[in-house]
Amino acid sequence: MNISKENIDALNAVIKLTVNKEDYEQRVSDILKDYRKKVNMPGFRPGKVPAGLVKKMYGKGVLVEEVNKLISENISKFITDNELDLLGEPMPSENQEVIDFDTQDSFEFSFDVAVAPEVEIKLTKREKIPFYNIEITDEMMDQQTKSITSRFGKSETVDAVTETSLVKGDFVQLDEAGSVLEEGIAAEDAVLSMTVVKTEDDRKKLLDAKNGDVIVFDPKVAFPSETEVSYLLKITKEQAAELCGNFQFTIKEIIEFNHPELNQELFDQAFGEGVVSSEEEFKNKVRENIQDTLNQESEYRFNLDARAKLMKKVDVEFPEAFLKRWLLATNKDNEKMTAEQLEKDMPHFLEDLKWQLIKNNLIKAHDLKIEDNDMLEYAKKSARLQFMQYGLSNVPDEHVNNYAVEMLKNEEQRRNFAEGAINEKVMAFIKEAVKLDEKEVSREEFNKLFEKK
Amino acid sequence: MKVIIKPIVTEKMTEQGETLNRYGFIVDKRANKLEIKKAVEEFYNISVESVNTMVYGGKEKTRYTKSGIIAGRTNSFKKAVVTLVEGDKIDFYSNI
Repeated sequence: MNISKENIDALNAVIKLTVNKEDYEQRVSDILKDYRKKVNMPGFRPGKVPAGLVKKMYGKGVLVEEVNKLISENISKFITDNELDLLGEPMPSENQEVIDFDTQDSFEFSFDVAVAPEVEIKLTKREKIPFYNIEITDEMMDQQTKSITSRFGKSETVDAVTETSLVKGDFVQLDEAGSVLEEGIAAEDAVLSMTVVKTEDDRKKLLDAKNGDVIVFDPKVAFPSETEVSYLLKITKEQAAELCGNFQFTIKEIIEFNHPELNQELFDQAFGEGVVSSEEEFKNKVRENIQDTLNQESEYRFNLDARAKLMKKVDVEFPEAFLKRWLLATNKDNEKMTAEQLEKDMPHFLEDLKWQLIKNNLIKAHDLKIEDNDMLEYAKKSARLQFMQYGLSNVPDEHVNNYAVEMLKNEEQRRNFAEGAINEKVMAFIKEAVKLDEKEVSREEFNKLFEKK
Repeated sequence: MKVIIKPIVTEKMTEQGETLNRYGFIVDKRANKLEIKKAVEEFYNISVESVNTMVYGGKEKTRYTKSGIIAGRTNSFKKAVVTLVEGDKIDFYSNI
């Protein structure tokens, strides 16, 4: 067994290895012996098949397999022994000689490898990365309060129509003279919302109307779009487009949505019993909620900025040709992955790779590690986020914990979480290492930051 | 005179081939050890260390059938067990 590395240039190298007969002979014969005991061949009792015959039938396959195993074992050993930092995986060289397993005794293989370029990053307090704090406006407070309270609001039937009511009733089409059109369009139990009524006149007509009142108006004038009309009258859009003339609307029910009062009952419902006991505390809690979400956004922005900054600091070259080949080979089964597609994605991929290198460098240089605990924390966080998406903001800790543990059992999820956790660590580290340029911005200004990109 | 008539392919001989490097042949009765050695060496292109021979006598065989008794005698033959020089091998299955 001979293994050696030849550098082509700074980024490309060839690993050459020769496999001799002594290297594989023992292993192959051991396996064949094992085969002999198991193989079932007509004409022979099991275990009595002549060795020569077994070798003839399975020898080549076993040999190829063993040689392959030997190669991968030795290459990975070589890489770890020499502490080579590689990009991608070793690929069989393009000018590899064809190997004839029948006649040759020793085989020579050569593999192309791409050496990861050296990246060095020094973070000092002299670097400035902006960190945007978003101001919380009263408007945001109001909105958040409303969205919390509206979850616990109730619908009630009331006597008279107001600006925000939902009105339920029957539509009947009228002719030009104002009497009911026979075989005209009629829709029962249509629900219209006062907030969509467009024209002032019609709104006045409806306002303060009582149960049982009959109101005449033209829906095409009163409502903004044909979709609305077709939905109300239960007809198709095309029919709605051709529609004209007045309709008679008989009110059957008026529904009003009530925002609940800010009282102890609501506090308990919204944040769990006993957590909030006064309006002041409620407001603080709401502010906290907003702060949380805004913090996440600020953090995200910081991530982007930090990444951009670090990427600019480092300039590396990649063995593109090799990486292209490697990507094509690994995505062979993926039909979408064509040469043109690759050409397009390449800059993107290189960016990611560069970032990956920077990250690895930071991790290595500063000994950042993730432990199971970190992973669990991260899983818990993302579990909580998931619950939040479903509107469950008060899931008990125990529940989240169970869910997180469950998620960690999945191999793929686990890897994702590990990735996420290490990312967080790196970001936290960067945040420590550089000087934060904290800025107060309003929501709009913050959003504009993203548009520029 | 054709010395080697046929190789003996049995479990017993296969076993011996693998462990002791010995192979069995049925040979012409008139051939002596030297002739057998030469014939095997030439045919399989290997070198022979030693040859042991034995002559099996034919057996009386009788069978009772509807149309009376059939009586006969199996052939007598000479068997040679050839030990090869270490490292050499004969592959009886090479042409399947």
